[in-house]
Amino acid sequence: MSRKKPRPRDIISTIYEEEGFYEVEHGSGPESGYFDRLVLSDGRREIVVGILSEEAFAARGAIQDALLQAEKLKGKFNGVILAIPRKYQKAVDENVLALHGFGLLIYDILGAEEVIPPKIREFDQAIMGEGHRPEERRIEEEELIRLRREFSRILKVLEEMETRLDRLEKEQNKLMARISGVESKIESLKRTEQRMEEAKAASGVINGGKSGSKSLPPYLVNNPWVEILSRRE
Amino acid sequence: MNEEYKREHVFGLDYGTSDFKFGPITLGEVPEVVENRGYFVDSSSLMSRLMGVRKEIVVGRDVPMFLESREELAKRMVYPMRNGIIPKDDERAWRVIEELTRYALEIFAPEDEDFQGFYAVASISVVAPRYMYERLFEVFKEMNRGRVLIRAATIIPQPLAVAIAHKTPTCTVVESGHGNTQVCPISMYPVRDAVIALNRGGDAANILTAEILKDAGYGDLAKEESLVRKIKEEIGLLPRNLSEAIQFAKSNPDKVRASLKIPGTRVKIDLEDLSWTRFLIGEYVFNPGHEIFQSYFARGMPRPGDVKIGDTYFYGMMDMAEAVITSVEKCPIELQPYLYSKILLSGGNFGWRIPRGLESVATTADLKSKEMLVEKGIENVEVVVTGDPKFSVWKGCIVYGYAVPIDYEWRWERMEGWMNVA
Repeated sequence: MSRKKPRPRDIISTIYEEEGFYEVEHGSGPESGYFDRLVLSDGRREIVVGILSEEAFAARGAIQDALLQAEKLKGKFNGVILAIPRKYQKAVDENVLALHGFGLLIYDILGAEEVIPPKIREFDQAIMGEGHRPEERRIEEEELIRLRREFSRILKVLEEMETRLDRLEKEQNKLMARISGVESKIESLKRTEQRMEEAKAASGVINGGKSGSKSLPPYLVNNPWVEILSRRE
Repeated sequence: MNEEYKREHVFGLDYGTSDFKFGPITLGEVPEVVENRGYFVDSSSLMSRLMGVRKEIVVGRDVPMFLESREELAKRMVYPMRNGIIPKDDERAWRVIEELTRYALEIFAPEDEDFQGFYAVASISVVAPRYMYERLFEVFKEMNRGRVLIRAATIIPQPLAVAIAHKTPTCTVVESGHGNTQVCPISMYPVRDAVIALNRGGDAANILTAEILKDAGYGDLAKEESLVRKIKEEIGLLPRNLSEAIQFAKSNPDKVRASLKIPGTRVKIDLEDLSWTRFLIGEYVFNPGHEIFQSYFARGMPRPGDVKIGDTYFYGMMDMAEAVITSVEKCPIELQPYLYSKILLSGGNFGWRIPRGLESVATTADLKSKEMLVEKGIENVEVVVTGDPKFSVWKGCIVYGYAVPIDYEWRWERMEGWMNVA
């Protein structure tokens, strides 16, 4: 059985999921054709990872383009990280990236590793846009946290309800089986009763021999086997 | 078809080892009986040409009219059920069964249009293998070639039929026919795993009777099986205790002396000073292991051997009480007391009488069995010889067919129910 090769984006997401980030957006950068953009958020902060593939490294100017684009993204996100294939780690100077506040990730098919953590910046009013006062921003953040808590609680309630529903369905199936068993027993009892009545009625019909006697032969009269055998089904 | 029609058209067929008993429920208590045999007619014989016989086989009451020399008899007469089991490839035996079945049904099948076939209940040995059931159902289907003689059929083991006829749902049935003896515990159903079969029945006693006749100077008569059987039934005795009975016979020769005239012939048999051997005949049925029989074996009388037929082991020398105990002990312990408390002896092999004057030494099959079981330490034993032992199986067939509902279809796993053959 063949296994699908993991995508760099999935490998990278995994290490940030452990820190509480989830994927918000993914796609090619609108301004750059050299790297993919992966936006992650923990509900309060958003970070962006620019992923350079092996193919991108083959293009001249890809690293410079990536760095320029990354610089632009600094204004929009709380942190900016460049992700490059492990075998091209030496192509970039880690100290320079750290100096400018970029994070650095290396990856291969086995996993990803954070070489330099990004510098996380808190946005000021200018970053949040016009009309967002600091009090409002704080309220929005608190609201977001509260909503996330509510969302988790609702999820738990839903899970619990799902479990209870499963249990109820199982109980219902058991009850249905028992009811059909009881119904078939009642049906069989009815049939047996009918047969017994027919047997009684027929006892006057059978001739007891060539003599033409109307009674049953003695071996049929009061024979417990008649009842035992008439219940065979 | 409804239950009422079925009850009025139940037809019992007891394929006994020696006799074939048959007839519909309307016969009441006594079925028709013919010997379970068929005679393959020599088409060139004078009799068959005179009678204009086209048939290959003659069965039923007409058989004696076609008999020829003794040598021809041995070649042409077929007793299909001698051991209760018909070999799979014994086509002559199966032809006889087919002819006997047709003979039985055609005697009683009404000509009116309302008749739509009998509900046939056949009974065969409890040790009969599955292929016999399959073949018998084929025979029943064959019956409907011209007109429908059988609507549906079923097959039950003979011991079950005996228990049914005697209104006993829990018991041990010992059915002893011509060729074998079957011990079968019954608890609503036959306990098939506990069945014990003995490779001896009435024929074993016939063989011993023939030896006794030879010793008494009637060697020529000893070759005629039906005559030997008749002599056995007339002079054979079942001893309470064999040694004491022989001693009594030797001390009182006049009381035990056996003399018999065969009606319609000049033949007269008198055992004279060998009259004590009358007690050997009955003892041999119950306990062939007694040392006195060694001299007969030594002189060439065949010893009932252990044989395996199909999946069943037939014991030759096991005594009757041992067979009952072995069979009952294969059942759950809780059930065993009930099985000992009602033992039914059925079949022509248990019809031993006590002649006047011999009450102190001769006994009946039920008393003999009870004494043998008590000697082996079994308590609370009740043994009964079934009334009309010859017809018990047929009566059981009638009750079975009468009671089992028509919608209870044949199931191979239970070996029960009706198989539609029309």
